[in-house]
Amino acid sequence: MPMDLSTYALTGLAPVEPDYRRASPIEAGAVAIPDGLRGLVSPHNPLFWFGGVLAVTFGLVGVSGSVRVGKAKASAGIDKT
Amino acid sequence: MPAAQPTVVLQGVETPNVSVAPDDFFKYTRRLRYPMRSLSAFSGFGSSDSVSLRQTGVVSKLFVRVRGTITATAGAATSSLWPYGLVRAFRVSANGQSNLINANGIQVKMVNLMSNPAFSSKGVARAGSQAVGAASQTSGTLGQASEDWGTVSATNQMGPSVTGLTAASYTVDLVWEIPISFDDKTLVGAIYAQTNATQLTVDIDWETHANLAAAGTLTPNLSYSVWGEVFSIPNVSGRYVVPDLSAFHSLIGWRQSGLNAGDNEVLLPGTGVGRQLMRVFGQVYTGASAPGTPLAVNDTNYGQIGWRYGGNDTPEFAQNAQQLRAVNEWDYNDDIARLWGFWAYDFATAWAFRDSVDQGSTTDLRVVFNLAAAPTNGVASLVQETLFAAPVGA
Repeated sequence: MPMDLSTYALTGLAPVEPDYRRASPIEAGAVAIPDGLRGLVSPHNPLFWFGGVLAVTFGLVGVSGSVRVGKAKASAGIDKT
Repeated sequence: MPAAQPTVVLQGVETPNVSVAPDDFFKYTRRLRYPMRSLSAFSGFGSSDSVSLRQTGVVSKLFVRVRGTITATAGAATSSLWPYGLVRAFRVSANGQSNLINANGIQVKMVNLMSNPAFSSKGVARAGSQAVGAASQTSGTLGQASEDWGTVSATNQMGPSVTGLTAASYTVDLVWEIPISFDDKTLVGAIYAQTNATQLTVDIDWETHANLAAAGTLTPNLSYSVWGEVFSIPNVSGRYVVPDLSAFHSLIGWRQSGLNAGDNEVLLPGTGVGRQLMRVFGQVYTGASAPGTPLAVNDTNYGQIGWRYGGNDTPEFAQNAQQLRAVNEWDYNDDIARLWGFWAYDFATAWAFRDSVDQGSTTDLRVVFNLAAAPTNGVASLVQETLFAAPVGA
């Protein structure tokens, strides 16, 4: 049957929360990160992988960098002999 | 030990497990029409009768028929309420939702006309606002040819505000459809009754003699019956299926006194989120003695008529009453303003999905009607027809 027989399609009465006992996500006290801080380190979070790329990049910079303390200078790199 | 049957909550009551599958339901259901209450003596003017409906299927509508005789004294006269105002209120409640329908007989008859394109009283001759024997009204009476407003002979008939009745017994036969569902076809607003938890009752309040008789005495000998239209709940592939029953249909009348010359703004009661306005209509009664007579809808009595919300948002208004009267006749194929003095704003006849008004986003929703003069004891008798989501409650 091609006809949409839902109440909304027939009359424009928008469906409301079907179960009034379930809390609405926009009620007072809602937080921006629903899963809390644990969600930030979840493998499902893109930010987790972005952080990993940053760590590797700056880690290599650190390995090939140099440090100067007064007149003494020390440098190191994985391609230096 | 047999396993416990799973249950679901439907329209606020716990029921045996059913699935919402409109396609399957409409394909396999069976329409049933049978008496809910066989012909019974009515309890008298000013009294009330209560009918508990059978707990079967999905209830779509009820037909109430009143028949019998009215014996008049010589020179008796009817008030403007006769005949449909014989019912002061039809009150329907279900599953704890109190008063889904609470409107008088004139208003319910008006909804019958509005919701059924096949219904028109054009060409049906009826007495109204005249002395007995004068020319008949042939449009806008809300009368069906199969009905009888009170007859002794072709020239001696009862009707609203008819004077000079003779000392005789007038036969009466009236019919109303009580629209449990909003739509006959798709059953939006129908009530699921296939459970012991459902309590579906219809109360019929009868009008008082004082409000029905303008002079003399009218002695009733009337009976009433209730006939139901119900749809069976089919079993398809091992599961019971029902249509979308997420909404209730509400038809509520209310009155507003204190009317004055100029714009009168009357708030719609009980508006809120999850409620959708399908129709709002009304009439103004005026007169020195109760119940008064309906004010004729014309440019002499009325100015602009419209509806408004918020501060001053007025999406629709007719600059004069005659304009709205013409639009109403266009919609209903009947001149509702003529005898009963109705005007209406209809958001459902053309296309409810497009036109209906969300009461959740229209704060302070109200009707506006301009009266040319302050009516004597003026009372607006108004009706709002809404659909509301089942979890919202009545």
